[in-house]
Amino acid sequence: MRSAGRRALRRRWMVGVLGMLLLTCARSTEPGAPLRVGYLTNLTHAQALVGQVEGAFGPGVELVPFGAGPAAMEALASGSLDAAYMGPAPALIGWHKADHELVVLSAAVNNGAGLVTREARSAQELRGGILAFPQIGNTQDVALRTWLADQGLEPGKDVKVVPTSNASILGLFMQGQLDGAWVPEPWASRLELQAGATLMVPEASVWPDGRFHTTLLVTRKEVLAARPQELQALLEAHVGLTREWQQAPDAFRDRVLSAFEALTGQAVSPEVGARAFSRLRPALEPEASLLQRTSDDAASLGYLPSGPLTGLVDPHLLEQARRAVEREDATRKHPPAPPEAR
Amino acid sequence: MRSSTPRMRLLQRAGAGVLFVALWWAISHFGPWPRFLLPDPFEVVKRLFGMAADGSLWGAILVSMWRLIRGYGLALLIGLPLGIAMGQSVVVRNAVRPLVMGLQALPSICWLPLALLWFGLTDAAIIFVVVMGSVLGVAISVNDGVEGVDPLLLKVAGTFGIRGTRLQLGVLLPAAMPSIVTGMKLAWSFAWRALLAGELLFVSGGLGELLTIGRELLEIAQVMAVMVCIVLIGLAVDFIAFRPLQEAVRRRWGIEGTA
Amino acid sequence: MEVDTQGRGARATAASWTLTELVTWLRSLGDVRAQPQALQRALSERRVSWEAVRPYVQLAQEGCRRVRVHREEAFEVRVVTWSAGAAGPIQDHDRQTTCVTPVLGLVEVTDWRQVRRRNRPGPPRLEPEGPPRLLVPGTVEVVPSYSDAMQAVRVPPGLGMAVTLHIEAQPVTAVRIFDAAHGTYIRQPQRADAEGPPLALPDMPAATPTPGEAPEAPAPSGAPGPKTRTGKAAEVAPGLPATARKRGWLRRFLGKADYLVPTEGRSGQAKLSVTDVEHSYANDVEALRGVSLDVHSGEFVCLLGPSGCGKSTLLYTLAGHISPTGGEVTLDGQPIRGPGPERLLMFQEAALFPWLTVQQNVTFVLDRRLSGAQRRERARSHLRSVQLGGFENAMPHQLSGGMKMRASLARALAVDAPVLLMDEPFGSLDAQTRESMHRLLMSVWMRTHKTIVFVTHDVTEALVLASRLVVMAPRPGRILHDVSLRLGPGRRPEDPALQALARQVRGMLREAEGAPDHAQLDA
Repeated sequence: MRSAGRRALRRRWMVGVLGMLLLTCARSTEPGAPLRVGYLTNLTHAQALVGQVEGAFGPGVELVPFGAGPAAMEALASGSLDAAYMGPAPALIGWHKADHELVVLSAAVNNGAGLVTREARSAQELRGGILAFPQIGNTQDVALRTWLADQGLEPGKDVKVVPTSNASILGLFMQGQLDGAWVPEPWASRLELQAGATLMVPEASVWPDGRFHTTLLVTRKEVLAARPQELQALLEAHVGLTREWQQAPDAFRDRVLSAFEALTGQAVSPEVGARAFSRLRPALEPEASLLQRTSDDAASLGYLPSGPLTGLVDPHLLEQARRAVEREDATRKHPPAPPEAR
Repeated sequence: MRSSTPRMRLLQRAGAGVLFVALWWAISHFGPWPRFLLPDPFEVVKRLFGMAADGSLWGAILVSMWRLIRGYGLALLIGLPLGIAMGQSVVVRNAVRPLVMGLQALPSICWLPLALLWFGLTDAAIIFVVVMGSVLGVAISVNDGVEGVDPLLLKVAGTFGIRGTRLQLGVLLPAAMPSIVTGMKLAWSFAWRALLAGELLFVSGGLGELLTIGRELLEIAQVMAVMVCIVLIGLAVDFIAFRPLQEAVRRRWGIEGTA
Repeated sequence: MEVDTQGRGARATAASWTLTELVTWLRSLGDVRAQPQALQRALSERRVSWEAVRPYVQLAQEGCRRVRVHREEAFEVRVVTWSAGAAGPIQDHDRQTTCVTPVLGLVEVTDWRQVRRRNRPGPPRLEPEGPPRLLVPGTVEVVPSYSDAMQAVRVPPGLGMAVTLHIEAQPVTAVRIFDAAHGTYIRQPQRADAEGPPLALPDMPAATPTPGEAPEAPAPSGAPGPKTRTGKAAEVAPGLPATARKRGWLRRFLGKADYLVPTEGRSGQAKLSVTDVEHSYANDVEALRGVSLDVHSGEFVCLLGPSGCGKSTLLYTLAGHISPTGGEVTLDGQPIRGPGPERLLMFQEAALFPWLTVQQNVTFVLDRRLSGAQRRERARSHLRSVQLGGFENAMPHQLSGGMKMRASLARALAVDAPVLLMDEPFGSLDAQTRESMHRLLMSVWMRTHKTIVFVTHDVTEALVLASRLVVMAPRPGRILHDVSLRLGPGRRPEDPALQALARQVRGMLREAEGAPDHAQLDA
């Protein structure tokens, strides 16, 4: 009968739609496919930049660029990425919101951000102005709002705060439409040298030890369980690059700058490059106290609930990677003697 | 047919709504996405009421609506005379209409980068985007309305010596009113879309900011709550403003409406 | 019906007045001035006989000759003999009740009124108010004392001489005459040309002539006037004057009347003047060629013809919606440049503004200089006159077709345009509504004497409404016939006379349809 035929048709239609939905949201990562790793096109993602251009991560890793941390975090949480370099704030937010699914594997870069202003030299001079930051919920956003709160300025009432992409910030600065911005490197140096701005508040100055995390390497527990060897390989490459940086900073700087130019198509002048890079510090160990402070700041802004960060950091892969790299270094420096013919 | 009595219609609509909510809840709890990516309807409603309670929702609505009113009002102020001029003068029409039709095909959000450069990081940039989104639609529909006026009415007006502004305001505009009201409704929906697109790309207060905050902070319930709010506002405006207006015009002009 | 050579008329039923009886009766009236209706009744019911008047007839070679019958303080009786083609000036009556009735022959009386000039200063101009009224023996024309209308009396050309009896209450000594050549008013004394034989009246001696009065001297040169050139008076004919022996005109108007006569040209400025107009449309269709037409004030002209004859084109040209490609169209002498409220065009559809109520539709088109209350009052009164009294607040879409047309007519009348142009306005109405609209239109026309040009293809409608028919032929559009309708008011379509006329007109239409295609012939 006609109604029976119609019902059959409807059933087939519903099955088809559900099937398509399921296909498009396949979240489990398949072994065999390359490991998708996100990063940001800032100097503060030095290892990722160099690794991408020089291929240090090997063929099994696909690096995907993003504009700011929350975007990368979004992609990681929804399964489009298997791991990502991002700042601590988005990592924390993601860890909270995604039911603690995210896990921090390692640190990457410390320091290298701050408040750059056009004319103001003190906090009160910023009253009534417009300040920019890369994206809502990223590390600079948290830093800016926390600093404003400390200075007694209320975003929205005393100062206008606007999320703007890093590249636009430079243009708007030069047009005089911004009074200041809290940005990572190399943008802070570019604003100083190309737009005549001043680094009024280096972020290091608001941290007790003058040290703060800028970039972390984060993944999902699911990926950690499913593909530990590939993550290990990723970490080994990451550790290797970090050690090269620690041992020969100037050479590494040149490699980072040329990688940045190759990836973004924007030339960084040697002065900007030198100044920017001088403010960065290589890092490997994620420090709980630093992370806790970022978490508390974000909590007071209402971005995430306050509380302990148990289970956020899982350093064992990092340890394994470190040991592997040291062993390799040792064998390279002191190659074992060839077995003598006895 | 029995199914067309008002009570039956209400029951059908309510039934469909309940089914939709149930399906949503089921997919959220048992579907392939984690809960934080697809919250269930109750979380969304809770977040909506939460935003309403702490005042952030009303502030955002106020900011967005104020921008929309200014943009839409400006579009009407520019579009109405432009449409009348296009309808009355063949010269104006031949000169302007191709440009208008071409620009109309451009999604208004494409104007945002230019707007930010010209107007800076201000409300004016978003209002510009809203105006560009709706003014051409208003002008085109007013033009069509004016051209569609029964030429007999114009001849009659001419016979009685009614010319100039008195003709435009007293005869052309009322005669074209049914088309104009339809055009206004269309332009409103364009303006609404342009506003939200602008607010998402240039985050500075309003519902767009609420939505972006929800997105960046991985508060998907907030994102969906704002979406629900946007839908409700659209329905409310349609119900309170446009439907009665269209009804009143239909009744007065004596046009047979569809039901 | 016997033709009475004595000219007494076929209807000699009641005894007719002798002048003595008439004068006695007038005396008995007392204040004649205040009783125009009594005069009207008396002279309508009883004619004045030719015999009674004969002694006072003095034929002049041209112009007219006034002979006094009797004069008293309260009234004066005169007999005026008109020669063929005589025409009197446009004059008023010095605010006296006057009465004219033809005894022999026909005269034509035309009312004249001053043209309203909006913002155009200049000498005063007069135009006829309504079509000329033909007076046959037995018809009485009474002008009451409170009227300051101006009239002109003349004998229609081609109809021979006429004799009229005039009664004036409180004899008129001087009248105001309009001098068209100079555009001025002149005050002229009016006296009889001669004294007739005195009447033998009972109780009172024969009237003594007023001292100091003498037969009228010849009029000063330069002033128009019907005064005789010479003081010579022709001998009173013993019988009927020679010219009156032509029986053609008698037969025409007593019995087998000819109701359609070719329109003759009239002097004076035409209200609407179409001169050698031709019009071709964009696709080279020649809608009008060499069309000339003069419409005088107060005429009801019907443009009649088959489709494609250009009648609508001509109407729209008069309205100003079309600019003719050749020729000239003028209103009151001023060329027509575009549509305007002085020449209101009514279309086939009512064309009411659908967003306004019926009353607002009318007030919307009225002059902005009137106050709102004045406009509303005017609208209400006109709506009442078309019997839409209770529908002021109805919306157009709630009205029937006939009511919409009536509202449209009320709107056109409220503007009070001197010229109404109507393009088959009743074409889409049913027969009943159409008849009532005809009656309405007729009553309006007779009350206001507007100039109306009406386009129709319905012969009966044309005959019911028009005072003049213009039959047009197509390809190219031109005027074939231009006839005047000698029918009185209150015509009914069932009237056999009207139906006979309709047959005649339809013949003309067939001729128009079959008229040779001049466009082809000329090519």
